[in-house]
Amino acid sequence: MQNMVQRIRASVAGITMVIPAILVASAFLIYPIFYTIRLSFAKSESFAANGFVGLTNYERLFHDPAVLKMSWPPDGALINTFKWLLLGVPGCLIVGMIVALVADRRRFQSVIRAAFFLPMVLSGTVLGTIFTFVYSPNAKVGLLNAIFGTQISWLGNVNLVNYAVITAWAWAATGLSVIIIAAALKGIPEEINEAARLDGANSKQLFWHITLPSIKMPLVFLITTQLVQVLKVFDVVYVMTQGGPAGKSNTLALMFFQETFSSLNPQYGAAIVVFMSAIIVAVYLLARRLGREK
Amino acid sequence: MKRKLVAVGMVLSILLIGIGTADAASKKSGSVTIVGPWRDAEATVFQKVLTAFTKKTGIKVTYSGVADPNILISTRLAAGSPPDMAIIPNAKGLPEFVKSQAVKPLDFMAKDLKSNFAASWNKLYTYSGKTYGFATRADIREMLWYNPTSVPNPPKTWAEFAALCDKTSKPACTSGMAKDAWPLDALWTTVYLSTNGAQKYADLYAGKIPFDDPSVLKAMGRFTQFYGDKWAAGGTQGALGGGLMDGLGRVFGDSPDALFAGAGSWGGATVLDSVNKTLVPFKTIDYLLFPGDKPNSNAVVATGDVAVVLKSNANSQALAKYLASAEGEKIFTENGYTVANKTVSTAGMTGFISKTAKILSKATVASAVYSTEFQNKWIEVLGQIALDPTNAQSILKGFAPTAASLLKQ
Repeated sequence: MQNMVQRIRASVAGITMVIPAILVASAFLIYPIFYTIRLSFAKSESFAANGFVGLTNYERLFHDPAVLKMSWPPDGALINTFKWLLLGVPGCLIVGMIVALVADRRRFQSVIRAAFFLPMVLSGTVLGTIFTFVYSPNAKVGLLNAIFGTQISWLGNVNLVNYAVITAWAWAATGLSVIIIAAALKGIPEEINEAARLDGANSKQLFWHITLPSIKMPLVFLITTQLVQVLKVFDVVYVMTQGGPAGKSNTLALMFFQETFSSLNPQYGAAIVVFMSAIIVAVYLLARRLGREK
Repeated sequence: MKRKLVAVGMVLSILLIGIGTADAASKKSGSVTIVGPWRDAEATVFQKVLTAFTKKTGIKVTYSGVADPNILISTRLAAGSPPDMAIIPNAKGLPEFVKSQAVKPLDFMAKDLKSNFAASWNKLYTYSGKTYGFATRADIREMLWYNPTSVPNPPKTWAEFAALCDKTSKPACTSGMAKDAWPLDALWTTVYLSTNGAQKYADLYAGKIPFDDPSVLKAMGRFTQFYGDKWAAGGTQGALGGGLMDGLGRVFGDSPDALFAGAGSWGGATVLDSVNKTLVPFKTIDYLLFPGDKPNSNAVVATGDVAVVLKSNANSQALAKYLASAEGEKIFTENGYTVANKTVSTAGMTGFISKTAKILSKATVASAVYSTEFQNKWIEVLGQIALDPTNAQSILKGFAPTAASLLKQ
């Protein structure tokens, strides 16, 4: 009996301590999530979630050519968002891996890591502004065109604009990959590598059979974090292109912003963000599952 | 003795409070919050207007200048705490705000609006018989800025402009700055007006002319030439990928490679402030209205930064009346900006302000207020057509029903 009373007391004490956190999470996370979902089914033309229109906003979403245009090649914000996913994350990972491996256990490794980490401190707005000038089609202004002696409009060319914006984002985001992978590499005991070398393993074999498996968990963390970041990227795209030219660099996150705050269609914007969140959750769970598989 | 001192002190206090109250009663107290698009130099000028208002009335004004006031207004409306007033650039989003009853009708200042603004200006911001805003500052939406030393004989008609552009390749004829999207619409409205006239312009944006009308196609031909590979510095992609300062720099920078840049009447101040301070107005920087088929067509697309009231109370009404008055608006003109207020005298104005004010006062002013949703979709279509001018007709045909439904809202 006394044990039960003590356990109840301990439970009550624990619950009392987490109540403030629960309240904050409810107010700023749980309630807004449910409100947004409710808004996506609402009828009213303001931010109030009044009325009910069923799946009208979602039907509009799946028929909106700005979201997905079934042409060849397919086009739309959804396709652009997947371009970010397929290019941005592997790009950061591969470059980050190369830099971390090259710098590992070498002189000036901290300088190299710092050089790659510094761009991360830039906000998306500053990053976008800098690269707007870097990509300027005027060779007297644009760094890239000045270096190559060209007059390429990186942000005005529909075939280049997405890659240009993704590159700008990846330039800043690679720092996180470098730091995490470098830290993970430090955790691999040197004796394992030495033993493998004594057994005749070359660098390639060391990398695939020892290094990579040893840093698997940090890699999974890195991939899932960057997947989520990439899927909701907004500020860089907004500053650099505003989704142009002609909507060719539009992403779901930017579409959500434009529909909600520019076109004042918060119900449709809510549907877009719910759809986007569903993609993020699905991709995150898939990445975690693949990361757990042997 | 002590009691006497306390009694004297109390009497003195009562007297002082009475004097203070009497003094305060001669002016209103309280405050007004207002958000707007003006920052940096523009905000400094607006602050002068607000300071003069506070000095006159005693009402304090808190101004917040943001890049996109509509976003701030929308989010604060959603939070239930809108500002008292707002300045909406180019009336963007006004139809939506009226529809959602976020903005209040200006019935309390109907007489001031009628006496201070032309009927055409008031009509722009009137819905169902009630006026919801007035233009504080007004601009000509788009003109062609050029350097008179590079273009000593500026073209007076479209034919002359086209001939000049066809002749020149280095420097290029036009400098696009469409990366930020809105310049596409600014140029389009001006091209359509200069090509087809004010009546058709009004009919188009009232939904009476479809967006695949021959008049639209004709104007679109000129629009795509302006951004075309032959005329635009850097080609179409250069025009679509260049920003505002890029575009102005191509004409007025140290090594110009284009003859004309399309920008509003604010263009001169921007160039002189941020691109090339050595230029001399009318000698090395000037502007011409977009040429039509006949010379001196004298029709301009004007835009206004519209003041609206979101919380109608004594203080916000007082500020609204002041901003619409000649006294308040004169401060704008004294600091280099043009206004739509017809009671503000143009005498004493100099430079580009004088030229623009005279044009605004004499020209047939065309303007249109449409929903942001329409504008966003239309800008995307303009970009598609600029990239693929040969398919302009089919793109416009596909867009026409959407335009019709959005313009009717």
